[in-house]
Amino acid sequence: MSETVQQILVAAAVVGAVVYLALRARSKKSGKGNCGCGSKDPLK
Amino acid sequence: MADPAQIFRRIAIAGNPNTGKSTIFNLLTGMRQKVGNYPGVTVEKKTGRFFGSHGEAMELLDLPGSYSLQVRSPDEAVSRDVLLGRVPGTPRPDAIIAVLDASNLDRHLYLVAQFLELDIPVIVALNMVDVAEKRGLTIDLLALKNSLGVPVIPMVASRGQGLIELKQALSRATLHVSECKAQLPIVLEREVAALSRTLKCHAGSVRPEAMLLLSLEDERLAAEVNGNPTLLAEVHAARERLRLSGLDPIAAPVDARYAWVSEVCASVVHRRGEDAHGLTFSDHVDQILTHKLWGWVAFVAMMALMFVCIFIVAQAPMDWIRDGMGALAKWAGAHMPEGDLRSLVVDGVIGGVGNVVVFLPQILILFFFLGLLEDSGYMARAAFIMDRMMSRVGLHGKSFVPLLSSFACAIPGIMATRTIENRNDRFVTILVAPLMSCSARLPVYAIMIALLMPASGVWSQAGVMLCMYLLGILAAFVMAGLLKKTLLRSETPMLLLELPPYRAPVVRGIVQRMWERAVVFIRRAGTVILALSIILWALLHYPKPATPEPTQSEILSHSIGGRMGHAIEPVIAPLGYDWKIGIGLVASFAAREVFVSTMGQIYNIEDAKEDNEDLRTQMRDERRADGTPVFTPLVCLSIMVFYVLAMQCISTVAIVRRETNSWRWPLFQIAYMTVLAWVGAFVVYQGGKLLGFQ
Repeated sequence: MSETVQQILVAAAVVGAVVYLALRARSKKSGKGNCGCGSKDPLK
Repeated sequence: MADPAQIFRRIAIAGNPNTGKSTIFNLLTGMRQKVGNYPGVTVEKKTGRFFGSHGEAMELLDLPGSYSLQVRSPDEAVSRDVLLGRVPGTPRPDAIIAVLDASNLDRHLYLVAQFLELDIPVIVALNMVDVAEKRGLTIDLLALKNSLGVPVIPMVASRGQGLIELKQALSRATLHVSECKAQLPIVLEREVAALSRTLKCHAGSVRPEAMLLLSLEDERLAAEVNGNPTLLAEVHAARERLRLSGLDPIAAPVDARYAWVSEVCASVVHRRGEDAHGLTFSDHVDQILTHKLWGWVAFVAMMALMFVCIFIVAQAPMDWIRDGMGALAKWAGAHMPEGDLRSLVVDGVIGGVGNVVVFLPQILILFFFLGLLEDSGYMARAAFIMDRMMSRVGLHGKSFVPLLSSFACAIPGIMATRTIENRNDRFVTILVAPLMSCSARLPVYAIMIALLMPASGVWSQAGVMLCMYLLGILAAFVMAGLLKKTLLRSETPMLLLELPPYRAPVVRGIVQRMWERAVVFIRRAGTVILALSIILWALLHYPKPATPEPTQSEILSHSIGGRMGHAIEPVIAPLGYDWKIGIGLVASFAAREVFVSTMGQIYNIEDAKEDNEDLRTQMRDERRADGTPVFTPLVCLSIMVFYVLAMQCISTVAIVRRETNSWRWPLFQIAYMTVLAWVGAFVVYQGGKLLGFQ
């Protein structure tokens, strides 16, 4: 595997992780998410 | 067979706290709502569906427990509003399952008296008849049925007994409204009828609304009829007429209901089998477990035993997971070409996630013990002995359940503060709840204890762990006392705590909760922790130094993470921490357990060995520039104290923001907890050094 391919895959993983956390934070704000401890937002 | 899509009947499950409502809800719907042998587990309504005896679809509402429809807290208001049909989008239920604790019938029938006034069909689920039997109570079911005028189903919900009979009762084609009610004074009945006519234009149930308005305290009344001065004037006039006729409008209906309850109990409850002093088994055990001195001894002994088991029992499975992760990293390292991608997979993903997953066995054992203590009824006793200390600092007695829940995770704990009616008391509890040691702190404590006392026995290790938990409790109480005296002043109400009888824990339920917990933990490790580990890996590797063939230390030092660590080093140096620990502190603001994965990543980068040493060994071997070890006993203690007191959890910040409806309180909470953590760690490290420790 060339170094360029490796760099692309690494960049994709990092961007994917950032996007995932951002989307998760947004869904939590709208009450659809999960706090991580298993407790759903009771207000929704 | 009935059409399953069409709801045949909407049923609400209601009753006093800790009577088994959620257990019956779970039995009927097959859902898994949290249940526990202490009051206040359910703080909001939950909806589920089930099919009756003839296949008819029914909707079931599990309501929070309440002692009366004259509500005192937000969760009790949920029950009242649903039963009165006040909640938009939630139709008034067609029937109520009134869940009663058979061993406390005299206390629980008061609420039934109020249900019967609602003009909704009621079915009584007389739960825990086995406990009543053991306590020497014989209940004449036929007499109870006749006195209440409603079906009475004896149940032992924890074993599923009585479920079929309950379903059959709910499936009857018609359910009747009982004619049996507490006899109210005629003058009061007349005023209720008059007020009902005024309320006719309102939707919902008119007579119960009128009854409630007449018997509300002035402050609550003003809130209830907010925006309707005519109605308020009419209620005041009606009350004045009642007073003139010698009746207290608030006390009269209460007295009438209690008189009715006494009458019913006298005819249906027969006592036998108490000992010479009238004490039951639970009373005998309580003489020790709620004793001023022995109560505390028992509490500390139980906690110590729990931590010893956590260390002993979890050791083998933790080793298996650690070995498995090591083998996986080795395999991945051997099958991938050298470069950043391999480093990301081996150090970032496997190293980062693996170092957190290792602690799953300890967390599960913690939940097993918490489940045992909750289900057995011991937690209410712990609340009782703690209440002496809590009331001394002005903490509301109802704060105990939220604080207790925070041992698992602060988020359900903060949600549970809804049972506290006073805003200031509720906010104090929210602000101190994250000081209780949650399960995410366990990995940090465990790894620090392993470094602190590698050769010590499990009892000493468990002792240190116990001290950290006690420190959290102490800090919560001290901070609560300070907040109550300064920012959030309010009078401390008395705690009226119902001590439930001891019950044998239902192991199936506990195992089910452990399984759910494991799923949540692994899902979290595979999502949030994984994403954070990847980002952290990038922060610890980029940008790369311009020098040709830089060493691993140079890469780390030059990276964004390394620079962050260096930037905060002057602030954390007085605590005994170097810049690498600083990276861990910053990274773990997202979640506490990320500290462990961060340290794993940092030392994997630095070592860059193929053999992937155990993180504990890597940390133990870590040296400062002068050759002295980084993780001295004082540094380990200082880190633990920091994590006991620091906020370090973004999810908790989000939930505090939502529950307080403001950014002011979560920001204040982050600030005070960070300062407290820094000061605590500073005192431990510098104080220890002054005393000659290392």
